[in-house]
Amino acid sequence: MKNKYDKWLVREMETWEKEGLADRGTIEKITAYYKAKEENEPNKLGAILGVLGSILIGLGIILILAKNWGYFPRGVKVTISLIPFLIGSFGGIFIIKKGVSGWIKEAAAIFTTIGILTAVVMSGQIYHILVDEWVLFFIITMLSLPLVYLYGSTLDLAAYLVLGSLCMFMTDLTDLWTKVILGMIIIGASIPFVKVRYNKDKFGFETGWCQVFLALAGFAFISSLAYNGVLLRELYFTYFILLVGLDALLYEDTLAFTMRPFAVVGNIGLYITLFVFTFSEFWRYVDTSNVNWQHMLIIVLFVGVVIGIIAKLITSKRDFTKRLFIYFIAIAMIIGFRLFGLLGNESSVILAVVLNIIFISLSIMTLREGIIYSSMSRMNIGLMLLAAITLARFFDSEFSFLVKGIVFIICGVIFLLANLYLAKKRKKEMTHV
Amino acid sequence: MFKNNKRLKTLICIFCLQLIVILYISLSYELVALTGNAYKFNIEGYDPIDPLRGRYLAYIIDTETITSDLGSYTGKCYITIKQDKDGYAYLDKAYKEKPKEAGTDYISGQKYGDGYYETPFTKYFVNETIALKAEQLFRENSEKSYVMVKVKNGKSIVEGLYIGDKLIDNYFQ
Repeated sequence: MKNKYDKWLVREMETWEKEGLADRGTIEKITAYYKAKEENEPNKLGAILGVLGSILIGLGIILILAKNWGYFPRGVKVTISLIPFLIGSFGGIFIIKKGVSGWIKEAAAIFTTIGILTAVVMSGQIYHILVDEWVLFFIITMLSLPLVYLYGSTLDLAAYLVLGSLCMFMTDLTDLWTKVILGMIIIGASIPFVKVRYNKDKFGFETGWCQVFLALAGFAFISSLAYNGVLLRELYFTYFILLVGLDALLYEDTLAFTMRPFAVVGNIGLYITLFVFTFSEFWRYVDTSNVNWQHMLIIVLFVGVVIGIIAKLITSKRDFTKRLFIYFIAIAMIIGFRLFGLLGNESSVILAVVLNIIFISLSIMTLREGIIYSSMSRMNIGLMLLAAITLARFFDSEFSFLVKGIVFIICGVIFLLANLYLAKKRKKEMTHV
Repeated sequence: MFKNNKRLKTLICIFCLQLIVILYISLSYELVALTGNAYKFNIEGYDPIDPLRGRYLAYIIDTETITSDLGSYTGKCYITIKQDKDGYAYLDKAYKEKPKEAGTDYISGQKYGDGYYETPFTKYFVNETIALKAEQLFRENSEKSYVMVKVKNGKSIVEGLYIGDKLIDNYFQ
């Protein structure tokens, strides 16, 4: 029991025993429990160094091969390009056979994946030909997928999702539905693994970063549709709502943000997009003539999933943030404006004004929560959001001085009231103590 | 997720599958290199770096010779190859579907809008130590440069980049 929390616990337990809050037997049981936990904990530094080592060796081999050994015949070059893959695979088979676990398994998985990448990519160098790179990356991604499950490697999942994201970014000229199916296959294939990790250790560090990579791969998936003219603004916003909804399904709202990866990515994304949406300039030049049924179908698909999640939250009586309804109103309104061709020179201002009101309302809600729960971080976020929108409107030439003046006065009053309320609350709390 | 023995068996099966796919990629190109029809394309070029595959001489094949009935179509296309009276190959006509006429060699490419094409022949990978000298030689002799391309059933590889009748790599041995 070495860390500062353990030392604190030891000190506290001595006090509990003195005060008669716990007997000697209970204290010994607690001590034994934490000692066993500490012994079973994997060596994190060793794991990081081991995995980093194998990544560096793999990348080093790629660089050595990139030197291009011109004097070797083609057959030798092909054989050399296979070596990292063969070393990784045979090493992995040996490790699994011996039943070794921990970082060595992670290292074998990641090394084999780098080996697959090397072998496939080098064919382009050897034959001086680069055709449909997204197909090559899709093959690499799919070949590395079984390793994620077989080795149970979270790091390899990260590598798989990075490769998949690269593949999705390379699909520029591919047709829309191929991209959609591609994204669904790549992301869908990783979900069971993340689910298993979640069920095994809901708050684990590895579960957390699996979710972060999954959320970012989803973002890459949506971005890959940009070239086909999909309604990207709406889709990004819907996707971030989906993440916040997923978070509400998986974790309690009272849990710290840092323990909820979907909430972190979802909320950051939502506030950034919503902030950008508050600029009327942003909506003025949106072309509403290119909306076709294919684009709408994709939006409907995502909105459908969001509705499903909200319905599930309601029926299972989960305690979730009511902001979800506000987000949903915002997205319904944005889609409505686009769908009915309302984004003209005049009407786009209406959308921007409503979105400003929504943004300010959400900022005030955050501020209020910060005050209610005495959470300085939430209160600071609320104030920061309010400050951001105030500054943006101060420099915004799109609104009249009257509108700007009123918004500034309202914001100023809110700041003062928040300060007053907090001071009163603190005073009340102090008198109770 | 898996019992250890079952995991080992699955891993061996997956390894075999991965190896087959990787070998298929290389061998399919090797088959073209061994049995494909050879074409010489005139080129122009310069020297950059690919982070994964190393240094290469980037070159361009003339696409202005390509005709098509595809209008402003953007996407994958198939371009037939013909030879001029001097024995040099040129890109002839672009199609949306693979050409079905027997004996017609073609390559796959990308068409952008009204008449911009991208072919798979853009990079010739060279040894790091000779890259700069090769680039200089290439610049000084661009009118004598060509790539030898092997084509079979729409699949193609670049056999070599030549200056005159000599492979560029051989100038520095």
